[in-house]
Amino acid sequence: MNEPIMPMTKRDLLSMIGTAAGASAMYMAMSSMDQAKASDFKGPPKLEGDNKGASVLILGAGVAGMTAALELSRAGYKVQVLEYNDRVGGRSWTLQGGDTYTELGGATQTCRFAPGNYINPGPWRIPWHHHGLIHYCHELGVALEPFMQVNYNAYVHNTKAFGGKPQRYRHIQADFYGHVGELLARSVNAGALAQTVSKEDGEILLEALRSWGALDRNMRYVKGAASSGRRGYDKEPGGGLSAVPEPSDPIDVQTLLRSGLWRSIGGNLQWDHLSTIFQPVGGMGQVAKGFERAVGHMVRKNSKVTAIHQDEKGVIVTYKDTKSGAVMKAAADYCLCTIPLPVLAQIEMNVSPELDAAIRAVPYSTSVKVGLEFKRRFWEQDDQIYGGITYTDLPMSQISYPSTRYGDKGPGVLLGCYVGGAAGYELTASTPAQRVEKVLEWGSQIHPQYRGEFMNGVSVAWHRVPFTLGCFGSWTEQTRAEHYKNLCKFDGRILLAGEHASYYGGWQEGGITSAIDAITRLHQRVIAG
Amino acid sequence: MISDLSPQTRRDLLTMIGRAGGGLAMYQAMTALGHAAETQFSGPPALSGARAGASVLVLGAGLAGMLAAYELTKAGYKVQVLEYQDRPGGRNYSVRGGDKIVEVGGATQNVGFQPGNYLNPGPWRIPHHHRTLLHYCKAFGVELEPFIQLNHNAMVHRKDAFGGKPQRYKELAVDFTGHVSELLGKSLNAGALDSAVSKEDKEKLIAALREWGALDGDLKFTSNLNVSSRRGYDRAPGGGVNGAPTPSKINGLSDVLSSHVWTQMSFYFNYVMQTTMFQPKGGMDMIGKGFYKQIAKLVRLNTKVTSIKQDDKGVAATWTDTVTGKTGVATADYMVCTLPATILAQLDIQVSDAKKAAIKAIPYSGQVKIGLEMKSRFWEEKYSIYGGHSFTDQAIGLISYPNYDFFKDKPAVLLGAFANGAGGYMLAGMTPEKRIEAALAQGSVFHPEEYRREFMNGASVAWSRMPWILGCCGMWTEESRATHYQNLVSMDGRIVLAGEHASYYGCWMEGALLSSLDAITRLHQRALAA
Repeated sequence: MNEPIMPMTKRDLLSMIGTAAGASAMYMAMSSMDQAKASDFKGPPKLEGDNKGASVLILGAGVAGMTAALELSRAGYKVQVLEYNDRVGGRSWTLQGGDTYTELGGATQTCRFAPGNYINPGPWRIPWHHHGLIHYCHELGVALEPFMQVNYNAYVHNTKAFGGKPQRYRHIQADFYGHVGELLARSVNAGALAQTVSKEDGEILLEALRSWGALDRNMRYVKGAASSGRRGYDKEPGGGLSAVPEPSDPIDVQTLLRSGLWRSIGGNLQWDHLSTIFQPVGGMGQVAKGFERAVGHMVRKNSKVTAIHQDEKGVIVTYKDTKSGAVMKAAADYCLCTIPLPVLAQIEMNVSPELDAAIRAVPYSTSVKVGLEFKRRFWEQDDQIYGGITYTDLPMSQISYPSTRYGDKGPGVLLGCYVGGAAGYELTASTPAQRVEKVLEWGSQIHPQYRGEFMNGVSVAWHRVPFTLGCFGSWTEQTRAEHYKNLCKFDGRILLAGEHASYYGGWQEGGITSAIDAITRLHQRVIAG
Repeated sequence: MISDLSPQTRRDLLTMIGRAGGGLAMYQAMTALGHAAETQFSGPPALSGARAGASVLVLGAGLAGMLAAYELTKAGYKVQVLEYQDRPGGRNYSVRGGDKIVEVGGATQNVGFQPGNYLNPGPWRIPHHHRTLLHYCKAFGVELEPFIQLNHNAMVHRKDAFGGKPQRYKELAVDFTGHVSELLGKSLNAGALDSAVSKEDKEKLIAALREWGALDGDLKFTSNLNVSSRRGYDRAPGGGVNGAPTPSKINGLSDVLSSHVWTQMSFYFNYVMQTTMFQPKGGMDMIGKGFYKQIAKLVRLNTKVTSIKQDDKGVAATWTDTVTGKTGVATADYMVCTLPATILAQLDIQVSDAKKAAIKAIPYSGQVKIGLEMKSRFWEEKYSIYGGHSFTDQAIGLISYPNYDFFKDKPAVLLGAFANGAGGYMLAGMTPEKRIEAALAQGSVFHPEEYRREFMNGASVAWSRMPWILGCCGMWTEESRATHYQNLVSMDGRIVLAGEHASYYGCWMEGALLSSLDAITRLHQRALAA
């Protein structure tokens, strides 16, 4: 990849090419210089050359481990995978009716959702630029459908603003943009920016602000056709005799700013949340099932790793069959270890002090998700919210409505809570029943239908998940600087992979790109050795 | 709906109701208080008790006409529907392989799309608040799927911006937001708005601008990883030893302004364009087919109405069968006429001069849509564009990527033009072949290497050349509304008009349905009063 080129330079270059070779040459040049690159994924790795019959033992059958198993076996390696759970996928996981889940501390929940309903306790959405995951979904026949990230008709909610009444996202966005547009237009017109913005740009900027902010002819954001065309009407346009719409009242700038609700419109601008964004049809567990179809025969489930030992000849891993209690050993030339760091830190392993320190340096984030099943999709039927997310300052932080089976007349499951931080710890410390009760209590402040329609719920508090003991690795700039390279580099015959060994922490794409990076280096080592 | 309660008061009231009647009562009260009110649709009309033997003649089997037939039949009327075309649905229309499109002037296209692929020449998206339409889709089992309206990764093109190179929407939109925030922050700090914003609000606004605009510690919009976490990276975060991302370079204010990206941003902010939006699975005409299933036996297809008369006993429409040439007269007590104003203006119709003037006062728009079938979904594979629109200031207006069959390894139809205004007239004036060529030439700006190489075949619908409507939809102005709207929709003797042109939701199916419900409700009241 080339060094970034300054826009002006690039434009000059393009106009030179254009002058010299005509428009068609210019377009060709443009594509090859395409500016913002998406995921680091550049297609599946090409592991060519003699691997000398080498064997690789992979620990963990999550997305990273299974990506490695798939590509290494394709390249002719002898591959075995050990997995602690009785299923593959790790955090790529879906809970549906009939599933049982036991958390640390022994509490067991049986999910009682109606057929077809589910929650994804871990990853739940796939941005368009996660090319690695999308590549494997396509290859492995995992069908994707749009995930509704931005829903203008969902709510934003602050218990201390608007008397605790939830506001529609469209109202807050339209009014925030309108007021910002009006204030900036006022500054431009008053000459306050004359030194920064040229006269010509200032004129275009005013035109832009009028359109973007829905300002009126006098550059004011006021009640009227322009603002209601964004935020919606008091009385909608209709048909026939009484069709004339009635505009709605914008929220004044002071109330809006003091509500803090403008904060909730920023999240959808994040690179990882931009549209188009997908989810697997039938739940994120379908990604795991897709990989399982390809590499399931290499995976030994119910295998708890207790020790990892390496010497100059190879790697020996001791594991216990969690069903029979039998202790066994597996050996290979190399080991690719995708076990989450909180678990790995408890396993006896002979690696360098640097790697050992790195493994212990990354705390795992807390995160709690609670799925609630209701008798009907009242959020669609009563509130006209089809998918998308309501944001709130209540402890459960958000409510996400299902992006599938819109309009279904049967019971529906929504994500009633997705929270980290202090509230996450508090919920983690609660029993599953208490979690559901609290989430019902909070959610009722946004949807009063909650209590009347509730059927059952299920929760996953990631710090109590036995196979990860946390949601994902929380790196800081400091820990990255000190430990990241040590975590990722080859240590004798052992190499780590997983979202924790990537800059895409908390995303499956991180697991995949990390696995590809690791096996590419492993392969180079084998070829060279 | 009670509109004079302030939120606090309203909430207190709700709390009281909640205490008194429990959650369910509270919810019902909330609905009644307008908490969720956002449409003029309040459920299907409860029309009942039509007089024995009362009859209604409906002209046009588009959505407005079919809805009228469905609800009036339920109310006890004897209904007959006359339809000019050989299919129901009107502008609720999908074009598929094997279809034939015949224009005014005789040009005929035989559509060559592969099975499963289609073009929606008319309406193509359904806002979440078009509740009348959603209601009947649900009632008639029409399955909906998301229409990808907002795609941050689609493109924006303007001939005189960025040397004619299309830019990704997300980059321009983030840069616009960032520059606007920086400029407003600067104005606030310079005290330029002290008379407009209190000190406390100023601090809050600056905090908001920093966060929302992704400004740095000095309230500047610069190239850095925080900004890249909005607009994308030069090198995206990855895994393993070389996983660290590198930031992308922002565009300067002048370049961003030259792109006019705010027109696209404004478009997405429009109430009728806001996510969530839907489309019917399998093509827009699944809705028309859903309606038709309910009332097919009432409809006479291939029936061209030639005159409309009324007297104090009833209404009569003279018709000609366009296949057999047979003529006839259909009579009834009342009439719901949903013929487009363009056609109605050419008919001999016995209504008041005011209504005649209203019918002639509505010009129709002239959109053109062009479907291009491509061998592969290269926009997904190579450009990572899944649904959504790439906009251009060329005549085609935009290209739009299909929202069904994502990721499939087979030919797909993209919308190669949705031309309005001058662009629409320009394309409508061409032969179908030349339209396709223009669409290919202009659309290549977005996908230069693939567009012509992957092209298989195309089909176009120029609405001003469709013989059964001669335009796309009614174009009201504030002035024409003031002079003519009430005259158009008022009951004239025994005749009432309906359709999108008789609504404030012009060009939308919702307008046609709301208009129809309003018309039949008034017709029914009139019939009962008679």
